[in-house]
Amino acid sequence: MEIRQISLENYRQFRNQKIIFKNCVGNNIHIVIGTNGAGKTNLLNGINWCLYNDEPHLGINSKALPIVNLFTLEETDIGSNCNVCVEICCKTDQGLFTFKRQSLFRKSENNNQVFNINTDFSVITQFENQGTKFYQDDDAQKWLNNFVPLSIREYFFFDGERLDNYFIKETGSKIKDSIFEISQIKLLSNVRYKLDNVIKDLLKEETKNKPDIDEKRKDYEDTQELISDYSFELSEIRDQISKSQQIITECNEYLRGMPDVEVLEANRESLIQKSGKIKNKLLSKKDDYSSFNKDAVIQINSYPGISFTINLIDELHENGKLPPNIDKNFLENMVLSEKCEICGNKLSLSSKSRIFELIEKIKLSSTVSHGLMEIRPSLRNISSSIKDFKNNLRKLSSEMEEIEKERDENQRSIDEINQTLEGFKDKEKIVQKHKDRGLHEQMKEDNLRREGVIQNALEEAKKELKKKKKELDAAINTSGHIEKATMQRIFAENTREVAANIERKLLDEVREKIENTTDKIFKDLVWKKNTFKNVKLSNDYSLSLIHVDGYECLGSCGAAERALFALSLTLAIHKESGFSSPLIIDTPIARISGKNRENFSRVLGEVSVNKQIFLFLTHDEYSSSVNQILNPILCSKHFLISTNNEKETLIEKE
Amino acid sequence: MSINPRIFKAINDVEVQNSRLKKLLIELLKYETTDPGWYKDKYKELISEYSNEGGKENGN
Repeated sequence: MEIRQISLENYRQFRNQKIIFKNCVGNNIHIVIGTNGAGKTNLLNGINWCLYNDEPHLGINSKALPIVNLFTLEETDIGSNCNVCVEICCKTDQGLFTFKRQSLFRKSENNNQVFNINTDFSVITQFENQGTKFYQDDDAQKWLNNFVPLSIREYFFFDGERLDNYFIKETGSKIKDSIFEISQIKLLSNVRYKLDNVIKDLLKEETKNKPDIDEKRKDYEDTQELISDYSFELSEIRDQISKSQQIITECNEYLRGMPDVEVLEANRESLIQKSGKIKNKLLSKKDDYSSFNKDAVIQINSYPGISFTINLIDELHENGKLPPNIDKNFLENMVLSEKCEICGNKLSLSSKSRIFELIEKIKLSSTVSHGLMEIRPSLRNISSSIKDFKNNLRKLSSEMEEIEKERDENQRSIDEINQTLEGFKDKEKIVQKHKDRGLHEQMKEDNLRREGVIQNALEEAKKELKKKKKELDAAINTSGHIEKATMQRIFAENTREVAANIERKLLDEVREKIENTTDKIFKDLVWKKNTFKNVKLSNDYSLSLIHVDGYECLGSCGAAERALFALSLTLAIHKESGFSSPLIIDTPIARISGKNRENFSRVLGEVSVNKQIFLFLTHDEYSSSVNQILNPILCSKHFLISTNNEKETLIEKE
Repeated sequence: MSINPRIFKAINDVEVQNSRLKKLLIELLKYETTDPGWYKDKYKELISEYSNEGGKENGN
């Protein structure tokens, strides 16, 4: 299935434009080049509007404008109508079919405001031997569902940013939903759900007018409801876990290589406070240093006197004059009384003469002698401290140096933080992202705990349900006669069981196929052939890319590899869904730079061998290196030319 | 909307003692593709229709 022509009439900046895409052999790749604002995204919106009656990629500027082309609107009288129409003509093996959406708008008195009068969606087929046929409403919808159903259109027509952010924005549940849609498992789920309700009705009929059994039925249904509540709660919790994980991944992506600004600012605050304390400590140490110097000057000046005194005392001491071992007064008293104070005998002349000699020798008084002996240790201490002056001064200087070093290091840390913070202009956003991440990490942890609790409760309730079902069946079958209603109910229960088994089997099958196909496509296309081991789509439908060394490496991949991974999944979904519709990507390589832009362009070229691809590129994206790769294999190249103050865009073929 | 052939294949592949279970399931799926609103009467009608053939052993 290929798109052959797109016609736009009065749709936004396309007043009356048509693009024809010729039939191609080999690569089926078409590019549309335009500057920003020329209308690439609105071309994508036009396709979406034609098929699904919405414009999912509207920018702020377009949102503010009416869907009707501004020139057409100017030329339309107030109260008159104008028509907006987009047609997409496709080719299949059977022939051509065209999707056409046409809306009639009326211009209101309020300048440039329009209101929709009606919208028609139709499909026109031109198949061989069948002539032209026209379908509307549900019949037209059926054609659309065979082209690309709304539920999976985002895998076919999308903004290139989607490729870059795919694994951040998407969650396992989203991929699971897509698989549900693709494999029509939803149909089976609906049948199962509805059978459940019918079975309840049948059970009620069986137990009608049998109060004892009816009581057991109610009991059984209460447990069923409890299980349903637990299952719902579990699904909500898992959804929240998935959302938290999504936000955590998004924050991790945003904050990669960025600091925690809030922590840094708190650190800076604490360093600034520390800086004040260090300053005070340094001032106090400087005071100590200054008083030490002052004291030292006095001591140094007194050193000669002190030294002399110590020497004198030492000399007297060495000569036995200090301390005096005889009390002079004691001797003088003995001479005066002529009597020995110790034995009481009268002193002889020779004794008196001997005492006079002793008195002569003791020239210093005992008081002075004792005084001198007492101050000697203090004088020695002072002398010693004067001798230690240099050491003490060095010690104080060294302490001051340590404090200064601490001050400088502290200031350096503050400067480093300031420098780091200056590098990030959007500090508030960084802080918010850190907060969000912290909050969701906590929420995820709480929910994982809750999940375990509810899961246990659910298992218990399921056991209880089985028990109650046995009791109920036994009570119903007590008569040994199986009534018609019972037979029908058992039949319905068994059918429901078969539906549930098939649902599980299909879900596993499709998951496995998408996993294998994504793995194969990715390995075929990736330029780093020896880096990745395999792709994994887990039971909870979260995607991982495994490095050859065995670890999950999607988070550390570059934008180009992530985009390729997303493209591989998209193509796998195309293949497994059975829809061979074209792939349309707006700005596919805008977020990829350097060599990888060339690699990715080459990949798109390879993919275009089996699939029609449309790329809407800016001039910047279509660089000379990309041109070298794509130009030789291009089927068509169109340019969007903005005219009339960018109110109108012309589409020109090269 | 037509039913994905994969579903038909899965129903065919599943082993059940009573093949009417599969037939009922296919009928219910076909009915679902018509996007019905009120379904209970139709479901009961189909269950009754398919369970009535074969007496007591139905669906077991």
